[in-house]
Amino acid sequence: MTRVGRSFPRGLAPLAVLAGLFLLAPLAGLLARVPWADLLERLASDAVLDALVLSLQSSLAAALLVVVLGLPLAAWLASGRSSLRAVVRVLVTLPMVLPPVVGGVALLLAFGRSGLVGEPLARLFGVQFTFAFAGVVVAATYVALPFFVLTAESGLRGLDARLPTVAATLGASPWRVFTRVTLPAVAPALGAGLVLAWARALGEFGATITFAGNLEGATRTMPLAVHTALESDPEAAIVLSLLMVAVSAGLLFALRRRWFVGATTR
Amino acid sequence: MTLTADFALRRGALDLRVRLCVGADETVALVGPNGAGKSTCLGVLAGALAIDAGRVACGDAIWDEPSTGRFVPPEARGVGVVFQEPLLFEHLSIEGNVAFGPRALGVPRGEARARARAWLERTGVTLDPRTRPAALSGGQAQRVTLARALAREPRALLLDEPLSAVDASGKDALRRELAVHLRAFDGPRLVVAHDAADAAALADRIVVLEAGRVVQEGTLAELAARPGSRYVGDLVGLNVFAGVADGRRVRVAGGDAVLVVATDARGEVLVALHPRAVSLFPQRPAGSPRNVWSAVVAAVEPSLDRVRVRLDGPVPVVAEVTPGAVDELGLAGGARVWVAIKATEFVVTPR
Repeated sequence: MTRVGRSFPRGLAPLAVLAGLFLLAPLAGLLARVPWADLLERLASDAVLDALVLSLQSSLAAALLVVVLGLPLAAWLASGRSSLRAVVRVLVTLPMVLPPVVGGVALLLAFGRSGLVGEPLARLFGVQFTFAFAGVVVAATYVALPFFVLTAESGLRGLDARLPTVAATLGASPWRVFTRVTLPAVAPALGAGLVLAWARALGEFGATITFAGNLEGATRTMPLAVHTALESDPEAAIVLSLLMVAVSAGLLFALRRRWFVGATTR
Repeated sequence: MTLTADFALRRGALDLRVRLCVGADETVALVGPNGAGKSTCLGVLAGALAIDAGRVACGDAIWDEPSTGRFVPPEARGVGVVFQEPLLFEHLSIEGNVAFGPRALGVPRGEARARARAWLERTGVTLDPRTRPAALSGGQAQRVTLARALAREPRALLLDEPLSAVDASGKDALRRELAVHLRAFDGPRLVVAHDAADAAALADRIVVLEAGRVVQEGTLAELAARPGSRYVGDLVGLNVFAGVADGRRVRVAGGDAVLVVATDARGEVLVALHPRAVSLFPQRPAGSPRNVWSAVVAAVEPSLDRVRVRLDGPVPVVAEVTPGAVDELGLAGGARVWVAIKATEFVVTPR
């Protein structure tokens, strides 16, 4: 059934096809060079598995941190209009537009061993971020946070304000309203924000290599491993890249209903 | 326990100054044109909006009083609210929706569910309690919403145009049920109503709000006897003109037309006229009517067993005639007719 109002002018078709081909070309280039013969053997190597496990662990830890820190921030941003909120929103958006390597430098100056926050943390609690898993998580959290906060905020702002009001008139405390009504109602937006943030964390490169370093088994995530292998063993880089494409595409496919609300058939 | 509100609130272009009182055993309908501030009033009573000055109270309990800094949040007011749209919690079953209030008030799960089922039954919802709100029709959804508002056993009930999201076929039945539930409720009830039929069917008393002020209150019959504004005239189906009286002549505001009336008055007046008192003729009538002019038919609208005819002319009026007269006079858009009104038909009220 063709829906009225969703028509597609034919004149746009060539450019749309071109866009599709443009997105397909890098994938095709990658697939054409995959060393299929010893693919499994290369995938099972320690270096690859270490990088994969580290990437998954750090990106999931970052995703968890992003929700724990980002949800309260998003809820506050969505709760009103003030100039303070506008300033904070710029602050939140900054990691999204900054070159990641600049973010890494900034993180180094703040959380590095002699940094503003890093020095007391190291002295008092012995916490260290450089060449450590914690550093990878901090870098990934920093770059991924805006994706979740902005998506969650827009979801919360889109919520009919009368829904929490109804819940309050039914006797629910603000906390109960938030957890039992507001959060379930904006779950699709939170899911979408989480997927975006997680994908950003998984692909994080610049801030990580600048801030946490490139130490195999400790901070060398998949993107760093690809970058490192490209100079010494291009075939290994291709295998690692293929793996990242597979993991990312697989997760996007699994979460497609949450993310592309209304774009998939049920 | 009487609900009393006497407050001022500025919100954007709206400047509300309202004094409103709903008795413990009475249903009050709040009516008024769009943007008059009806829903804002409801928000003030529910606790969704804080007032700038004045006081909102329920019996002895003061809910909002800026002068003393007292403000009771909605969760502590104990009011049941039903909005225009059902606003059900989509992630809960209809039973979960109705049990939400009792659960929030600390009623154990099993008891809250039993209470929810009882209220669903009482409000005429015969569906499986596990049904999701998305599967409901407009009328069913509003019944569930009513059950949800009643299940928390509120002290007062506030309804914001509860029938406006229900399609015409289900409206009459729901209006009757709503009237029964409102009458059975022990406590003050306030209903924002869209039209005179809803207001008359649901409420004991009507309060008219225009541009943030209460302009008139009374029963529908009282409002119809002396409509205080053009809006009230429309509400009760009357023609209302504002004008300046000089003896028995009223110059209609916004034109040169003069109406001849049967009562003496001076200064600004409102003139009300029942549509049935407007006579239509194909030619200029001879004889006694003092008010005669030529008009053009703007619209012909059937209304129950009569037909309402909107007429453009020196004074725009609505006439109510029989379907037979429509055929006889050839009343259709653009047709030219003569309008005649007896001076004794006008009800003149000084402003």
